[in-house]
Amino acid sequence: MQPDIAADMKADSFTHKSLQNTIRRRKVINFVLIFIAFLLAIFMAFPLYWMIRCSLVSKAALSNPEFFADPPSLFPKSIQWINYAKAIKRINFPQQLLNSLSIVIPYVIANLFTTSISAYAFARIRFPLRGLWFTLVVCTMMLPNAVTLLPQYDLYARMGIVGNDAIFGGKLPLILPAFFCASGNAYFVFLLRQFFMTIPMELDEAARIDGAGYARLYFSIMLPLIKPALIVVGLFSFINSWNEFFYAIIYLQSEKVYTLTLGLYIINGIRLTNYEQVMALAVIVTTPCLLLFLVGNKYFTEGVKLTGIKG
Amino acid sequence: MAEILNTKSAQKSHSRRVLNEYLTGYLYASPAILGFLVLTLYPMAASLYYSFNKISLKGDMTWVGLDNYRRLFTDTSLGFLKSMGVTLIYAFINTFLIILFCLCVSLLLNREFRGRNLLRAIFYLPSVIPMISTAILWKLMLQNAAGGGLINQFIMKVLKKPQLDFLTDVRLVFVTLFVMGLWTCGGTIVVLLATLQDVPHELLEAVEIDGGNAWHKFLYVTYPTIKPVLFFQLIMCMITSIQVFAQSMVLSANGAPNRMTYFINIMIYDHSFKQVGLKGVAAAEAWMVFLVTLIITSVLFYFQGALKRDENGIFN
Repeated sequence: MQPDIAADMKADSFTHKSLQNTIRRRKVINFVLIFIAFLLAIFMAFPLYWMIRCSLVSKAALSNPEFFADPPSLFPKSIQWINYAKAIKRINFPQQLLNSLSIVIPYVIANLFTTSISAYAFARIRFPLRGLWFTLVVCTMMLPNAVTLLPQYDLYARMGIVGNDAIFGGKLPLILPAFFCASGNAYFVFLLRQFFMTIPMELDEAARIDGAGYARLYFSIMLPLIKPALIVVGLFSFINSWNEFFYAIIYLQSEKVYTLTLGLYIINGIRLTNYEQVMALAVIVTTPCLLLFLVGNKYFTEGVKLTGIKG
Repeated sequence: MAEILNTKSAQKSHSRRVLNEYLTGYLYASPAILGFLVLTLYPMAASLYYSFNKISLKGDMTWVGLDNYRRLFTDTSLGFLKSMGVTLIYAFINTFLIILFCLCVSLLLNREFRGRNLLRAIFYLPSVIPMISTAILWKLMLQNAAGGGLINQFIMKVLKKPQLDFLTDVRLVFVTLFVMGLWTCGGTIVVLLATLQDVPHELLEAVEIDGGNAWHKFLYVTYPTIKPVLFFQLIMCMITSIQVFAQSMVLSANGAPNRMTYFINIMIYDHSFKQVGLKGVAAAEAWMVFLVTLIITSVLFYFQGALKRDENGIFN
């Protein structure tokens, strides 16, 4: 009996030891992986830091930075706020800001309304060919934009909304798609429909029995319920519209109507050697997006999760 | 009450209600439906019609049949095949790198640790920045050392090696473009990270009990769960990569070096709005892009379907 027990105990302590080893090894692996994640994150964040840094140094410091000096300095020795003043003077800043806002604000408002009401119809009102229309609309988000480019341009031109002398300075073609869930906005119809589907149908029935019409149902019951999703759509469409470049370079044909994003591109194209001023402008153009992100981080990630279309 | 008792009138009111629902449905969905018809379907069809015509400066059209398409493949001065080639090479490698990178990062971030949300935010942040800013920033970082290029300063001063021409070398310029792509792929990371929450813990534990290692867990549990989403991200990434525009415009509007970054959307933009008399050709190019995208998407869908059949057929 005695040796047996001893052997058992030995085996026990052996498995115990190997278990401990496994746990320790796992902990080490876990630590290493998390370390790698942090390292990667530093690499991702670094260019942003560099953009801000370059916008604040003098021209000489740009080509010969203190960054690789011995010892390296993370922060520039002299901060040149004047870069921003000079950069703003190079472009017609107030005009371009106004142009950007005059496109973005109606774009976002129109988008919120049209995508949500269409999504509401696709999710909760029964009408013939509903599934077909929905599929077609959603498929447009996979369509390369080039294939509709020329006829769309001609269509807008025939409507008289293209060019410097047209109504609204020719900015309308950049806003119009938001009124029709077009040019990528089908994405939001899909997203909001997913959201509407999660609301129980009994709610509609109850409201209809109480005598509410579709409009009332939509405005006073549905919209408040999908507020988080609407915030997501608002944030995303702001960023999309603010960052728009492809259509901007096509439809905005004079300096009078340039947006900030387009202005930044033009300044970069002039091949001016004052890169610190270009970076200052880049920071200015980027800031609204960064601020929105910081304010709505939670909604952003929620929204991105929702768009991770399953199956 | 009398109305309800009267079945005929009740039927009438019922059908009126159904009709009302139909009409309301169409009315409320009309922005999307009209948008599809007027801003997508009509331009697509018109674009196809354009591609069979020679379009003069004034907009007069003369039917030339398939001549525009013939020119795409025979007229080397247009450079369509090269443009399509570099676009596809860029799109395939870019998509591959992005999906691989996003998958790895999302698996890393899927662990429980403090600061996880912060890291997720950091990875996502670059993707909300205007592409123009991103491209200008990376252009500065990858410039030659004298112009303020950080990477080349690092290569020269720390590694003591000759600097690399990230912006002017026909191969290295792609490195620049891939770096921009990887830097802005945060959206995919967040989507994958969210999908990884759906991976069933019990199954992961079951694999462990059966003696499986981390790779087995990924292959038999994690991957099948996230496959549909991963696949959708792959397709969307492919489609956006084929339409690469802003990055190349910032680096050089004319596709330098040696037209290696003269991507198809830049070519279509040039032929449509910058050069005279090539609108018909541009429409043909646009339709070729559409067809190529359609083929790639279908092949990808087929492969996903084939894999699914395989799973059900052989392994089950």
